[in-house]
Amino acid sequence: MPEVIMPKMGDAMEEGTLVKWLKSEGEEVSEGDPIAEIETDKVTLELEAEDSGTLAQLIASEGDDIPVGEAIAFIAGEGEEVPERDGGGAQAEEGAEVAEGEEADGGAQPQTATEAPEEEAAEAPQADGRADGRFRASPIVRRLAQENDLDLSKVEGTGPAGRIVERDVRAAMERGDAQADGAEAPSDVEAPQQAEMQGFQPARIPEPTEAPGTQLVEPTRMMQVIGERMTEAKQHVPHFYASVEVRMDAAMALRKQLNAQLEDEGIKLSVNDFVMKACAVALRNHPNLNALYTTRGVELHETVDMAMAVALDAGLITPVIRDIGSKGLATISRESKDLATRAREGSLKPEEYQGGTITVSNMGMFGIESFTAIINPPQAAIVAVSSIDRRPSYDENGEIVPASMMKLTLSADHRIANGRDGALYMAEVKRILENPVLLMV
Amino acid sequence: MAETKTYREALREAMVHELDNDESVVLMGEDIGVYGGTHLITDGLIDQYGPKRIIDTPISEAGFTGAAVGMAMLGMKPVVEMMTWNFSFIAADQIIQNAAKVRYFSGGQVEVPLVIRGPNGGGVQLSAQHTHSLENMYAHFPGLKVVSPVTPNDVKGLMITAIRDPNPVIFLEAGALYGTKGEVEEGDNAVPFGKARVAREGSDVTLVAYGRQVNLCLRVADTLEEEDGVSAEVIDLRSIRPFDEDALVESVKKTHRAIAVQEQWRWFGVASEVAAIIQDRAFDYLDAPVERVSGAEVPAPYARNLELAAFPSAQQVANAARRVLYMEEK
Amino acid sequence: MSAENDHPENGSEETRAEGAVATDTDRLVDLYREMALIRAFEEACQRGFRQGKIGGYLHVYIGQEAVATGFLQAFKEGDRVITAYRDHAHALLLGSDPKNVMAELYGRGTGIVKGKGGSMHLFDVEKGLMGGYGIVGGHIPLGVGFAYAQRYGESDNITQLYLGDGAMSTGAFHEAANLSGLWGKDGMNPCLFIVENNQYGMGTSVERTTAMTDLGAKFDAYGMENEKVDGMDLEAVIECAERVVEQVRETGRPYAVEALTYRTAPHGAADFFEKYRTKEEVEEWRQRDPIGLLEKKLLEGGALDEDKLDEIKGETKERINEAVKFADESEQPPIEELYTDVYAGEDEYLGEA
Repeated sequence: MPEVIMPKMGDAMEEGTLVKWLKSEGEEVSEGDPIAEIETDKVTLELEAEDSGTLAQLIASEGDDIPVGEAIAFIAGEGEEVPERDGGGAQAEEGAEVAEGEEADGGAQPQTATEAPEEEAAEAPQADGRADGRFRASPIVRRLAQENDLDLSKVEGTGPAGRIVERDVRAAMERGDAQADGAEAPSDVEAPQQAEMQGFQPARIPEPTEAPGTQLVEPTRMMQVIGERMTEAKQHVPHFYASVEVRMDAAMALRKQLNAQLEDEGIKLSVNDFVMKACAVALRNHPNLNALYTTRGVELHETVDMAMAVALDAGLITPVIRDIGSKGLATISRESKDLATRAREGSLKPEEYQGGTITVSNMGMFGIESFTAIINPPQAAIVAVSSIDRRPSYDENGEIVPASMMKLTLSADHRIANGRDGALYMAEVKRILENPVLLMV
Repeated sequence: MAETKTYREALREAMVHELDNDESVVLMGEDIGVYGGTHLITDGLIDQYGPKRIIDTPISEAGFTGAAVGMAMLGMKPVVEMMTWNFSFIAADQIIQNAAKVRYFSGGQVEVPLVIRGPNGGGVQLSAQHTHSLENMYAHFPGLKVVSPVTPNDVKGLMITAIRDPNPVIFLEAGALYGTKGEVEEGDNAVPFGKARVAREGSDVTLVAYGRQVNLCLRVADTLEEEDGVSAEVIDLRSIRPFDEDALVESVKKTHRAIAVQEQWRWFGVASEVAAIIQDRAFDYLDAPVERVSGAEVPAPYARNLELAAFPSAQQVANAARRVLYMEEK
Repeated sequence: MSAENDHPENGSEETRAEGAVATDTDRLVDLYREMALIRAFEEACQRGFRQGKIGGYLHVYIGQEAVATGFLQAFKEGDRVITAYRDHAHALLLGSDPKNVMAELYGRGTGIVKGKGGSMHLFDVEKGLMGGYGIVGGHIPLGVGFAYAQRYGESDNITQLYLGDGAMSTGAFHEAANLSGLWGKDGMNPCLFIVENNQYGMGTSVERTTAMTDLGAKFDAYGMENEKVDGMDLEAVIECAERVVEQVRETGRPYAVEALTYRTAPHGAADFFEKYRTKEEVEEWRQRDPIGLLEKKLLEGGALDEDKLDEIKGETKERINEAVKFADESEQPPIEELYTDVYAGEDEYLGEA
């Protein structure tokens, strides 16, 4: 009988919240019918039935947090009965019999999809002998290696006599550079274990003081995910930074001119649209910054999928403008507004906020003079955009003239690019924005 | 309702509670009546309950402990004071050969609801013959139960449970702590045997102890937090037999590292049992070998500096924690 | 050496004479029957041991039967009896079924303590037997504790505490006797110490263990009244028992009786007989065998004849054969019994089951 499972809606998703059932037990559903509203760390969305039949049993209750891959309901076809869940049902019993007595023929149940990968993962390390004691590694390291199909020969031990200890393997897992060759991406069923690992707190966090005037707030799931990813990025991605100051008068003039012409079409270009376009165009000559850091090397991308940071009331999300390099300012403007609006509504689809190749983060609207951003792994770079500040400057003749100045700061992954690459790239962005006609090329 | 009381007061309160509750409860031991008890635990009780229930004994640990076993076999509930546990060797034959085993070799025909209590461990310059931690010795014998409370609330609650238990209970008091204070619940606060107490929650390393060493571990946990940013969990076993394996294992599954701290000698001690249980039940969670911090392998010395060196120190425990966390020792 | 002459001033001859008057013949015939049963039981034990049916240690009461038989004549319901490891006779005399006692020795689940104690640890708490104990002297403080509890519970019951001559050199004896005397001052210790002085602690004679061989007089040190009795003379023992038990019951004060007796069997199932005593000495004591003495007296007085004797011996043999058969055919204890009775209450086994 088909199970309805908590779907994995993003690569960092470990569990989702069942917000509301949209169908009740016993109701007929057709494939594609929305049956429940699910909230992940990023979005709220409707879960659609993948089968038709009777919604036979609602396992999860509204408000439950359910690990990815776990059944939340069953859809029964005609004449099917709902299996009991705690091993007492017919299906479970038959399964047990088969497992015990091999002579049981013909009655073997096909293994469910959720069981198989787990077993493979468990056996894999034995098959190639990696876990057979050739490495000095603590017991928990060996267990983590087995559960996550890691190759300990790729992990450097920092304990006594080179013992691989927990912190070494955690770091390797976060960097993603200990995966055994040919190991598949972690399957859904492993998500809970990943949850445990990602929940690991390095040993620096104090107990709450609980002093008067303090209040203990539990972070939202989104904040937890952001926190974990940013911690990971800040600790394991070697950042370097490069700032430029851009004179924006020409770009502002062009923007004013274009906005006047596009007013009838309801389009109003923002400064950020210009910056994003400029960042994309500049990447043509600096492709190594449009890249992802992967387990097997740096993956260079031809097209620029630009993630834009959107602040939410309780967090942050980075929807992606696909192939921004080939899009005009008007399209970019329209898409960015739509994505930002829907991001704030919580109605983005996973594919709309996953898979960027570079990120732009703009805090100019808050009057921020300059800031540096944390790289959004596995991307190579992020550009921090500050406010436009009008102040005295010198013209070619040494006369003092007013100028609109804006600071941009690049944060880049030193494993992918070097300082010179970053400097040249930022110089190119500056050149384009100061000669905005280049945006049109 | 809870009130601040000393360890001594809490202990006495438990015995008074049960003396009032149950006619079959009697106290016996050397100088517990007229003299009021060497540690003044039983001071004044002879006036309240009379000499048939508060029994002053001659100096004859084997005699009165054995007599107490006999009383218990006929349904009385004697609470025997060992002036200090160091004297229990004289009575060891009675405790081990009779109290612990008579139920078994009688095929279950008798019970021995007996408590033997007194101060255990050292710390006050009593030197070799008056300094022992005997928990491992008595916990070795099936038929005995062994508890070692450190807080005033636990000493009361565990004593109430001990008196009600139908088996011989070895009740090891933290002698150096009779004057320490803590919140003590009013009335019947019976604390079950076999349940450890999380004295402090933490996430990076588990410090396992019982009795006086729990306080040492709590101090070390503070140091580790302040100086090293390490969050140490402190488990107070409270009860050595029965032993709360689950609490220990659960903690280690969380922290992946453990230090067992004991005042007694290292060889064949409780800490070794702790290490064995962890490797048995939480092996795959360990990130480092379980460390033991124990007393020095010498008879207890007299001179203060030597005595201090013979017991686990905060620095030893903290450095053991640093070692299992693969950090620099200090 | 001969025990009864060690301290003639204690007047055992005299008490024997009184006993003869005090005890009627029918009762003596019954007691003869009991002693014969004990003797036959012990001989069957020796056979069982030789056959490998009985393991561990085996200590038989052969030669000493009159002591327990006599003293337990003064036993009253609610009284308690405690002894060391030479304990078969006490169990049988208190009414434990020879079948269950033999089954215990055979290590069977039907044994009196479920096969968990063996020969040295017979208990029949319902009938008053608080056990046999294996450590010489170790049980003595327990008996003193029983007596305290009996008075604490305000009953008029007493404890009969049996000990051997060897136990009187142990610390536990002296500590317990001291306590007993002390508590007795307040009427809180109705404990009757019965020293079964069989002349040897294993292979070491009393003279070789203490310079003060008057074992009864040792109780003087603890303020305890004491006397001696000829432990081979059942009537003397009964007379003594009834008198002193009455006193102990009345006063709540302890009392000690040294019963002079002799183990004509080896200490254990077998020992190096000739190393520590001569054949002549054993033979001499056999002449004073308590069963032989009584048999002679009953035959001479006409209370028994050869037919009656044969009948008693036949009955006894039959009962013992039944007991042996029962033991032999009983099942071993179920293996689950390994972990029971360790703790009372939940009977939790605090370890790996």
